[in-house]
Amino acid sequence: MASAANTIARVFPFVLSLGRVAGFFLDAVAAIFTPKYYWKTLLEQMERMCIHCTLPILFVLAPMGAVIALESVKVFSIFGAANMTSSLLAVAMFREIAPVMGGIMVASQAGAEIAAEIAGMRVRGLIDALEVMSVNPRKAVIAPRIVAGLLVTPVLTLVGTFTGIAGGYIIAVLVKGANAGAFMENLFAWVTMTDVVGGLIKAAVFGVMVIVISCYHGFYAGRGAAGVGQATNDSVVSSVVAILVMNYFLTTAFFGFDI
Amino acid sequence: MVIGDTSRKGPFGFLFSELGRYGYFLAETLRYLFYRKFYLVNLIDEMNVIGSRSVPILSAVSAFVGMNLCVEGYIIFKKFGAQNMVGMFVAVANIRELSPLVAGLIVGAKAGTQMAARIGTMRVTNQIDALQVIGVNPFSYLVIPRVLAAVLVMPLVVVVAYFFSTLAAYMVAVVQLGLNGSAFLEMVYANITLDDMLKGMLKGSVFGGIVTTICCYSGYRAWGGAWGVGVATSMAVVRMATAMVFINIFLTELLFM
Repeated sequence: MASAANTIARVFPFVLSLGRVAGFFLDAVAAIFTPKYYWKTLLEQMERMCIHCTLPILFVLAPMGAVIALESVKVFSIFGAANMTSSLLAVAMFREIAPVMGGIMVASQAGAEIAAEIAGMRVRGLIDALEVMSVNPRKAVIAPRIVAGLLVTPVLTLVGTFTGIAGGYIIAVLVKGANAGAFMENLFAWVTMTDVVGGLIKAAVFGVMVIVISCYHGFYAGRGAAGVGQATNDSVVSSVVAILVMNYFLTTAFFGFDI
Repeated sequence: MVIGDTSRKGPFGFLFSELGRYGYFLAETLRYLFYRKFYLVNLIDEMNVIGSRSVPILSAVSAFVGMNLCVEGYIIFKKFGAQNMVGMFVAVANIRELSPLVAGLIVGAKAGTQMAARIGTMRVTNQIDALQVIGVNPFSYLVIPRVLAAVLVMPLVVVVAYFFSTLAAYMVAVVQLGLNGSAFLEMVYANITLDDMLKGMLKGSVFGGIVTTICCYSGYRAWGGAWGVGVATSMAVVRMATAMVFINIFLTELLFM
């Protein structure tokens, strides 16, 4: 049994790192729920994450909404159903685009920043110094960031959703000349509470996943400047892949039950 | 974390000075493209890095994107009883928008951050200055091979993304959703022309150019030790994603409208 596990680990190193991330996550969860609690660090991290991620999320989601409006105005005009542009836009935003693009932007801003920061701490020996001072680095450094990711990402996603809808409005109504009243009338025609809540849960899952992966890559960074760069690189790649893969399963779980 | 010298110039001053420096960087890149020695070996190396190392991840990710798109399209079109139209939705969304975007994003995340980290490391350890001292132009040696490789390879990478996302969407439609496979493929063929696919590949090529120039620029201007490399890498990702999505509107308007 052990040799089989070794063979799998040698052929697919991916499996090995997956297991390590899972172990790291469980350690972090244990650290979150046991004292001592670092409330001040948590608030600082939430503030920093909000401030640093808001602008990127707005800048990415507004153009995404604009592109969806641009394409769907054209496609729906073929059927003479141009009014449905806004319905599709709102559903797509709430369910898919806002959580996924929001998660990717949190990964590339906050996640990469956290990976670089923790890898910098590791490289300069600060994490060992914390342990020497008998401060548990998982409780002082990792846990507040994960909780901050869990709480902040859904909020940012909600902000991003409305930005995306605003971007779609600008393109559909002001540029392509769709009817403004019809746009607003049909905006929430298809959106149900399941879509909103499902999107927010997706965002929370992505937020936790991204921060755990970034903390993992930072925590076990290699040496020197090259190690920090490598940790940041790895954290971005694995977070983006994890988000896009997980998204399919979450979509099927939340919205696909009546298929 | 202090990023750049925002405090002195204010956020907008910072934004515009960065944009100006990026424009200068682009102009330098273009100038040395025709001016100095051309490093063919580096170009082939970088094509290998961008193409073959990004493709396994990209194929897995674009398969999941296609599957997700198919499930979403089915849920929406079922409201009208037009389940078979899901092929059109998948084809249009995939070929025109998502495949080039996802390909750009993955190549940016995989190869682009590596470029930023590597060039940033070279900058903070003074290797770029050393290159200049021994008379090698850093633009022709480091930047131009990477940018050119991305511009040349990205269309092919986008084709891989087309293939895997459409295949995965087909499999989800047939196995998970129980649709008619040939009706699905017929909707795909009816709504996609070769023209659309070539335009999507062009989009991918433009994204490749944007991603690599931004990542090389961020690495090239890194400062401040190991910390600075991390900051440069993380800023490269955000800038690249934002720029790609913005350019995407104009490309869509220009190519498909």
